[in-house]
Amino acid sequence: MIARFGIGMTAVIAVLWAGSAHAEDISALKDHDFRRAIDISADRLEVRTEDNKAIFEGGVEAVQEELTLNADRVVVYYESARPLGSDGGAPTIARIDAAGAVRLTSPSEVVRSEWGVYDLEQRLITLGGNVVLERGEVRVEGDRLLVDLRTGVTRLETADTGSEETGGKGRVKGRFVPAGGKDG
Amino acid sequence: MAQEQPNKEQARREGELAEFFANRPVVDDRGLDRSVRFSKVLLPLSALALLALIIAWPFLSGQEASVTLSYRELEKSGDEIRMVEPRYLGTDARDRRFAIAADHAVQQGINANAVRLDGVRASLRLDSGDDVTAAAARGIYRPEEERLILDHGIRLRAGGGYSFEGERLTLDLDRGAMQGDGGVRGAAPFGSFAADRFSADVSGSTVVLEGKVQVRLDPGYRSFEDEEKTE
Repeated sequence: MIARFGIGMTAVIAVLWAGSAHAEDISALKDHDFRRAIDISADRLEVRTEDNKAIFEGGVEAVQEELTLNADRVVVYYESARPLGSDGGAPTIARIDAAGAVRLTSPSEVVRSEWGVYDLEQRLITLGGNVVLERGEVRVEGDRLLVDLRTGVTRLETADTGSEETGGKGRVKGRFVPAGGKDG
Repeated sequence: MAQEQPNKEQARREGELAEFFANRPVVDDRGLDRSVRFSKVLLPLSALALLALIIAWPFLSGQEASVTLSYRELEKSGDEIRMVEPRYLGTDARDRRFAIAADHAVQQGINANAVRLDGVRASLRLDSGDDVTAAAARGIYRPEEERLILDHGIRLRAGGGYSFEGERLTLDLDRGAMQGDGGVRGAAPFGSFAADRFSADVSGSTVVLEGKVQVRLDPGYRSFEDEEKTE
């Protein structure tokens, strides 16, 4: 049995699965440790030291613990460091941007989108542009998805359509497939 | 390292060598200015720029640098000029000491278009007091092409845990550019990298890695982790 629904709002829409807050609402990325090493593979990397950014291109995959981010292009922005040779000369990664065929994979969900931003300082991942989230048997579409890495709360947003009516652009679409009666 | 005794013969030889080194290419001061941006060196890849920098230093520094060339022995057989343990010492425009040395430097005639180098070592003392050192088993300097090619076991070490290893490195001294192939890898306090090839400008403002690029980055928030967590 498949249920469909549409919700249109002018602002933020919180998506609650199966009508109430369950563990399923919470991403496995709750308490994700953003300080862990990030392994990135790609066809090409260009580092522009004057702009403090590193640009990865071609089949990019970035892995940080249980979080995997795939994209055509990934840009790592870092804060400047003290001069080479002095203590603590390492830079700090402030933000990671992804673009083109973006896919975020965690133990609890797979999200596809056109672009993504991993803000390490805010511990927040934002995915945007034709967002498709699949979590277990649930598939939801929207314009923008926010994943709070502290709480694991996932929030799907729609663009402001200027209408409070349902339908039209920017609505959240969800499709639920009963997971063997797990949630009743 | 034997101290050379100044004498007439020595002076004549040094004259020849001075002539040789006088032919070294010189880039303009903007190139030099750009090349001293150590404070901008942030990713492990930039270690590559350091390697180029210290090896190309005398060339880049041009007239602003004060340099002296010394060697243990100069052998001549036929056209072949063979320097034993040549050392090229100097200070750059910012008063930082550098040294480039080799086990041997061999060329065919004073105007040879190639100088073969064995056991190349180079070092530069940074303002921080740390030394950056580079070494390569072999090198060829081509004055006409303004190219220095290093190959076999290229290694670089710098204070703070920076290192780089590569197989073959070509420095274009005129353009201030370098490229490497045959596999490169390196490490820094904040990560490590490996790739098939790389290219960079000597200033280090742009470094490109290509082919099976693998990079590990420490986001740089370790101190928090150390406080909060133990594993």
